[in-house]
Amino acid sequence: MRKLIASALGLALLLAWPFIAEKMGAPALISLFTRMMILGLAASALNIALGFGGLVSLGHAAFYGIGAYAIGISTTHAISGLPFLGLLPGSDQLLVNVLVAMLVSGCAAAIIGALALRTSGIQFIMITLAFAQMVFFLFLALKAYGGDDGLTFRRRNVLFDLNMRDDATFFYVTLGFLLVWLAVCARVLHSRFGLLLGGIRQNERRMQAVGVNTFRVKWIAFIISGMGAGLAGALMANLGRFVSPDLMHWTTSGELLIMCVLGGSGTIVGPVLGAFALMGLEATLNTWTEHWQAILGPLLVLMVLAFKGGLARIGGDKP
Amino acid sequence: MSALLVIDDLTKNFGGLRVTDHVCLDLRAGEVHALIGPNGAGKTTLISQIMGEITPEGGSIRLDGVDMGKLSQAQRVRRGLARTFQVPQVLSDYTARDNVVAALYARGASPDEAMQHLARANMDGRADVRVSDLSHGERKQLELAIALATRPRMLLLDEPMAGLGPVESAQMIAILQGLRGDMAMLLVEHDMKAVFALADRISVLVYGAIIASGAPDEIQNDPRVREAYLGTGED
Repeated sequence: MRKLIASALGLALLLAWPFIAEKMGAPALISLFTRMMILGLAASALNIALGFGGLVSLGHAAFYGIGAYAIGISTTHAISGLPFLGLLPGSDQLLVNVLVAMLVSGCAAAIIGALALRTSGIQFIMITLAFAQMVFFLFLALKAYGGDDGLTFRRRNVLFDLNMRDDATFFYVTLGFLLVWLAVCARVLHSRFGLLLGGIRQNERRMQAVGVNTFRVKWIAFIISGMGAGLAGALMANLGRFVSPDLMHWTTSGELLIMCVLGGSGTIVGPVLGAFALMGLEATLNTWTEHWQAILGPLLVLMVLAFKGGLARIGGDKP
Repeated sequence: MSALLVIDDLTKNFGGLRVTDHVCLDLRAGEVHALIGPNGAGKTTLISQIMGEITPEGGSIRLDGVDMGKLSQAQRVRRGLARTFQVPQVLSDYTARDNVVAALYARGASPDEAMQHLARANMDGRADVRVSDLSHGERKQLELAIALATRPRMLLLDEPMAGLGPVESAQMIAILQGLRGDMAMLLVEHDMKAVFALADRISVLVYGAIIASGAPDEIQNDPRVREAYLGTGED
């Protein structure tokens, strides 16, 4: 019950946030919170592989970046009127582009997962990292779409008749996507598939012994997880109207892992709490000193030690 | 009774060590066949090869005439093979019921069946207890319920009495007696009281090779078996 009340209060605060930020005379905080929600969504996507399936991936930045580039490339072609590869027309419609981003990221996750999931433990971590770095360098060399300078586009994608230039409107659109994604996560966790995935996380040998094709279950989880990261990338590209290979750098994967652990991997809202905590600390410390990372590191260690199981598990079991 | 599981000339080496040495074994439908032998004889390795966890280097395993050699572990389970482990392999974060439900989901069955399988392993009273709160004996029983949920025709039991006290052992023997006839069982066990209480036939495995096979009284009086495993009773 306490968890439910806390969730309701958190949602109410988010719904009121654009008004609060305006009243505080700090409209930049609207964009900061939008960014937090998007990274929370990305961490929540990683959580399907990590928290539900026990797959420690250091490659999710690739899916996140691919989702972002799908938006950037599609929008650029829509603006220029030139078809992609001379075949596919671009689009500036958010729902179309988000679907494309999730599809492309899902395909990338399917290919990388099909190879990486044949390993486990440290090998799995390293092979996902290696694939992500390959994708990073691929986009770095992609001069047609900006190379290491990245790709800028003039306006956010269109969603119905909403004024997407308005940061508050985009904040609510992002919140909508986040809530739908969290509902999907809850559905996955409490489904037959979720029970089998959780079983594999706890004891893969046991699940194999009852006839579960554990590779297939993990592969599907990895694909769903990659699609979620792609969705987050699509929103991030729209937020800044800019994409660059930096989105795919391995440090992004590391940050998503920290968000999951800090907030509570294996919980529904934990990764989102982790994203808010990490980015909130970054933003606050950043204003105090240029050596903020020297404070952030030990602080994170203390937080992880103090809140074993993550912020979402404070005062009880899984929310 | 016709042979349900036929193992023919099975061979496996771990480096220079031969752990399965041209093993031939047949198990009949509905029988309890005990496999005994000293530690390191290769009993668990044999179970792992039957289940497809370890690939043998030679020989064949046939279940009801079907060659298991090319089948994955999941396919073997679907055809009716199931196993338990010496150290119980259970899902510690789940309740006993959810452990069985996971096995039911694996074969596309309804979770409503869970209680009947738990009851057969005398675990229906502990259905909603988290596995981390169960005793070792209860985990052994739960593992049996999980295996039963796969609807096995051939149940491979890897030391079901290991780590159990006298009362828990007697309870496990009673549970296995209750399953007799519903499926064939290959019982790997060191507890001779349980072996002689349950087995219709016994095979003795020493250094990867079957040295004797027969009815319990034949095995008990076989001088090779007494020398290699059971002891002469003189010391």
